[in-house]
Amino acid sequence: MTRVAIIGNSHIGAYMMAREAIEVAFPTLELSFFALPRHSFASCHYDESGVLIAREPAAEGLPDRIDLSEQDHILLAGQSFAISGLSRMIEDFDILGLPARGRARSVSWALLEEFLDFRIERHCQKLARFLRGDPRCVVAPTPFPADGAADLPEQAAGWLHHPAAAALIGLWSKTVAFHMSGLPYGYMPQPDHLIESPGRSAAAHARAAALGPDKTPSAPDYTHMNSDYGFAHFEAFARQWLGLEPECRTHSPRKEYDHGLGP
Amino acid sequence: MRSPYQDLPERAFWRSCVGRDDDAALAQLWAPKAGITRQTALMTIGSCFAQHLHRALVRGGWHVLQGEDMSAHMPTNLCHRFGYNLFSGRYGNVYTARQFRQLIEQALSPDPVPAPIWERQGRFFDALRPTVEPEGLGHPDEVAQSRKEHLGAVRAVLENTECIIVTLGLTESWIDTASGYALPTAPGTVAGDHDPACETFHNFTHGEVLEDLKASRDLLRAAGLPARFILTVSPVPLVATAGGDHVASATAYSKAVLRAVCGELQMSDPDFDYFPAYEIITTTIARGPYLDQFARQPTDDGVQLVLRAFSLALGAGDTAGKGPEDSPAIPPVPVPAPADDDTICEEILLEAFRK
Repeated sequence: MTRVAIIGNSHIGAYMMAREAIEVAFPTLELSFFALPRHSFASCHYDESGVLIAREPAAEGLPDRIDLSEQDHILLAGQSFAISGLSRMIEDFDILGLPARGRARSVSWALLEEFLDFRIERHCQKLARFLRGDPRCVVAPTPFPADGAADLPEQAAGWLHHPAAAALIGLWSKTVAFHMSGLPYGYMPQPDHLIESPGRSAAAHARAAALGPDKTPSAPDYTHMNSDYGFAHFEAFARQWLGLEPECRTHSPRKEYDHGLGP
Repeated sequence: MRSPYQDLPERAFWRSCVGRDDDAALAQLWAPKAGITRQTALMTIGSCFAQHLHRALVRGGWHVLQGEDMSAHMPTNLCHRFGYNLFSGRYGNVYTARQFRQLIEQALSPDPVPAPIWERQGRFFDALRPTVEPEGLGHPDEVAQSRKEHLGAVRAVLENTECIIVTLGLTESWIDTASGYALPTAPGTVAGDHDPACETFHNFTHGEVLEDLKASRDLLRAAGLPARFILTVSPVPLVATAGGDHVASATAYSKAVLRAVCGELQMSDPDFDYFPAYEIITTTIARGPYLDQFARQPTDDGVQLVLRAFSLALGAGDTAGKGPEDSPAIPPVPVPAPADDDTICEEILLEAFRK
């Protein structure tokens, strides 16, 4: 068996919900999961023997440690790569050269470039320290929010309603790819087939789409994906980084398992 | 027998004052005309040395206004690279009294004469603050938009300030023929190309500097703005002169003119005061001079001493360097960021063009 650890933050929920389907489609894989408390590297102790241990009690039902030394591959999911910084800049400023949106102040595209460069480089430095240059690691960014997130705070995804979303997300993506290329880890941007439009996931992949009719989705249900997304993303990961093709897929993983691990 | 000197205070006598940097001596270096408290809204503007003053005042816990504040968004070094949070506005270095006057004119005018725009390799620069966008902007319209927002922010600072600390740096300037504006640096240094038909060199006289400062005050008063002025003279010498003299003589002329204007205004006009930062840095009065190995930039110790003298003279104690490190904005944004000790001075770029 090939052992794969999926670690990260609340975004590992999509893979957990798809676990059964993944293990059916990839029977040679053995999955383990671990969520960092408070989504913070500082919340964990990574000891010399390779065991990652939560410094504080883990949420109910979640493991408080994982032995990464036993893993063949590690997928670190849900990394923000400072995209909130992009959001905040868009929220507070117009960008000179892009369509104006009535903000009182503007900043230049060059400033935005250098700002993102600084923030993303710093994020990558934290990644480098945390993962200790471990070549088993593949890092995936947080999935883009899904279509339909009407009540999503502007600061959480300011590019969604920006007429130049493609340019803004393009800059962010290019900067992340550049800085990740300098690290010994794999980098797996959100696959094209899982992107509805620049900076936006398909509505069908949001947790909101999997909620029962008696539940009203809230903003996190549009920023977190469901098991269909978890399966599709893992399938892309397995193809690209493990060299594996799925053996079968019986039905929608969304129907198989709803662990309820939300934000 | 009586002498007019016999009842004068200690501060009037060189022997009793020179070479001392104790609190009592520093407190005597300046006798403020009007009180300033930590709640007094201050605006900083001027040449390179004004950046030092701005930083020291902020760290010292003085209420320094911060227009166009970016400290909540970016680290200090990135703010500074793009001209933010170096002074109370993103105006870059304002070396001459004429630049100061024209900035006030533009900020208070509903329809200011457009500033010249320089071009470099397809990028465009605001000629009146060419370093605030190190890579320039993509279109002249972006420069105009940025300048419009900047002037609005300057106006807001002017409307809120109670005291403007103006650091005068130079008398030499290049004047844009078309607009009449004094430029902070010669075309062809940061961007643009020098064309003798488009810019002329000018070395301001005592009378012109005096007139520009009075006019600046009059502009504020005409707009109903009450700010008074504390003048200082930058101790930083000219990096180069275009006037034909030796750079040392040219520096002496500039500083002498500026210092003389400050003295005249201090003696004759209640709106103007003079704070002797220049003397503290360049003379032996406070165990100086405090200049770096190239005898050009003030040392950190010197800048701290300047702020100590400022604080002590105002009865605010010695608080140099003990406060937060970024200015409150309008309204205040209490987000401190790490300090950056580089002073940005486009004048230094002139050296790159030295043959």
